[in-house]
Amino acid sequence: MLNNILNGFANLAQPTNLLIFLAASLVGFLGGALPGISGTMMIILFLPLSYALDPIPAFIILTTVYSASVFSGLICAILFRTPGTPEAVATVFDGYPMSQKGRTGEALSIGITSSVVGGLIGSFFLLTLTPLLSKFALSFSSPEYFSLAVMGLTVVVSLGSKDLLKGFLGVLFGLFLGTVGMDGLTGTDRFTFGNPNLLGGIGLIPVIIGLFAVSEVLRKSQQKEKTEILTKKVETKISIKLLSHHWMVVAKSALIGTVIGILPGIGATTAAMVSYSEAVRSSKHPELFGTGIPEGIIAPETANNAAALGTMIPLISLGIPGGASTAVLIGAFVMHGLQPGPMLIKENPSLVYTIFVTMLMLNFVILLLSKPFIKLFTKIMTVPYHILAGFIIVFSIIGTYAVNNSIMDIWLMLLFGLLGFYFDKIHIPLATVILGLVLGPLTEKEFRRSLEMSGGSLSIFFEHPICVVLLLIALLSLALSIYSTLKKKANSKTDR
Amino acid sequence: MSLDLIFASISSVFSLIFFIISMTNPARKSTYVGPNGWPNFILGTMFILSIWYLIRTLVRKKIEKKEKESVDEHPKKFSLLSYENRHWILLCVLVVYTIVLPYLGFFLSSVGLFIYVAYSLGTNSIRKTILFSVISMALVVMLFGKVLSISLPRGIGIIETITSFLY
Repeated sequence: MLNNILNGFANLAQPTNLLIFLAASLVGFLGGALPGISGTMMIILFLPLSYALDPIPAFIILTTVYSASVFSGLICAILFRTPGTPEAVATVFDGYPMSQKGRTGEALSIGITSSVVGGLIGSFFLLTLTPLLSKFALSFSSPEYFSLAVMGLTVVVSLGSKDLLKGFLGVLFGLFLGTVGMDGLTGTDRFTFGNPNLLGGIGLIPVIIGLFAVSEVLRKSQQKEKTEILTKKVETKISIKLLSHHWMVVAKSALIGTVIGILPGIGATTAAMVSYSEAVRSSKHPELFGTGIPEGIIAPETANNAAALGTMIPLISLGIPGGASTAVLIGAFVMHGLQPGPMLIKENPSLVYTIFVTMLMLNFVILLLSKPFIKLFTKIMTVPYHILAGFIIVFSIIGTYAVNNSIMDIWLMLLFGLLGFYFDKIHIPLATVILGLVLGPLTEKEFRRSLEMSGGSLSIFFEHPICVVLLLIALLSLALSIYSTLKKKANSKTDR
Repeated sequence: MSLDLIFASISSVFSLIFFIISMTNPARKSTYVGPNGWPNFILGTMFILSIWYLIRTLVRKKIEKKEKESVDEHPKKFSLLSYENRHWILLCVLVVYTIVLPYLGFFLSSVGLFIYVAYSLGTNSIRKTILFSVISMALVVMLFGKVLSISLPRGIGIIETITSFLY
């Protein structure tokens, strides 16, 4: 294995490959910072280019643009309340409020540092434990996936702690949105009303961009006075010390991200949401989440980068995509006459370990790129809002339209923009809607599959040890969260 | 408080209507939980919670009304041009933008949108804004249309011919 790793370094160090790697890092970093331009889209855009190259430089480009875009998705999430990539949606919840308090540089620094740490931990697992982790991934089946999704959903109590009823309504609305489209198991149309554009369901990107970005522009249009956010002059440090007080959150998030990343079909977006959920659940002050605290950025950013690398493990070792981006990468492998799976590491160790080394070294390149970009992006906050708003809306429309080349998506974006505007007014946490939308389809699909596996018996959920443990954790944390929320409300009433 | 009432009412009606649609959906029979099982559960729960929310809002409104009985409140005059309602105008402009987008193409539509957004949010110089929007939108369409090869609407007829020089 050591020989293969050194060989990987040697391949990457070749001048052409190194140049390609650095260029792809820059392009991926900038692309991911633009709203709606996801990692999957970046891979698709560069796929035709990669066809003309040899496998090693081709996969250096594809894996680098994807991983770099996951890193930079947090930039727009923090600056403009618009996640640059779906993986950064949970970063909006605390990143944007922190930026609004004038701590933009600090938010970006924490985000990038967390991303790098998550990426390094993910790279370590990728380099050393791929065969072992792939065996662990195989032990997960539908009951385990279902219980994982339920565990993620139970955090709605903490996210909606100010008003439980509104929190539940938000998550139910998100769950409902996830049911629109064709049912995957039976092919039945649900709530499409004959519109072919809705057969694929309601996309995550129009909803996210609408709920967060468009609603924010609508909100700002109501303001009488031009408000200026005084950006505090913060030394933009990229330092592990930023995370030293939150090492527990970092460790848990990296583990959650890696575990979810290696599970086929889930992806980094779910990892970020579940990690954020877990950080809220285990915090001594869950009510502070959503107000702009470091843990609210550390948890999702560490997890999504660990997961982004984790998704490569089932792809390379089993030939099963870990998420949408790796599904596209399978196409790239086939284009080059390669078959991802158990034989790939044996037959092409040079290529596989070059990919692993590339993803490891990207973390260091991001550290180098980040400091000048953080200063640049912090300065963007000084641009007058009447200019920024135009760009936000235009980029949002491009990002939304580019997914399916469909005007329908823009309509959906506007609809959710209006909904997000009013949800904010009546204090329905937008995080709960996204929680439902991201985890709902997974919950339903795996629950129904579990019942098919067991012949309709619910006992299957009690026969799998991992499933039992996860469901117990979910149940206990739900009960404790409801109890502590109600207790706090009762105490505050008696204090009055 | 009135927003809560409106939302609670809409939520109740919405969940009830979709629950009925889901119940009457001629879904293919599945052995266990069919395609309508999960939506029925969600919408049913949503309906119950919406009614609870509606009742709670009405009760709170009653209590608030009693407390405010002595205070004379002059009803606010509705004005579309007031700051509170400006978001409706912006939304209408976005709707018009989406309608004309396939016809005028991305470049022309976005220039118009950019100018309006800057004007409505308080730009100091409209001439500079027009110039800035034309140049910046040209750069944006070249970046996305030509460099990143993202297919953007070109418009129809002569507009399509002209925009093909840009992207």
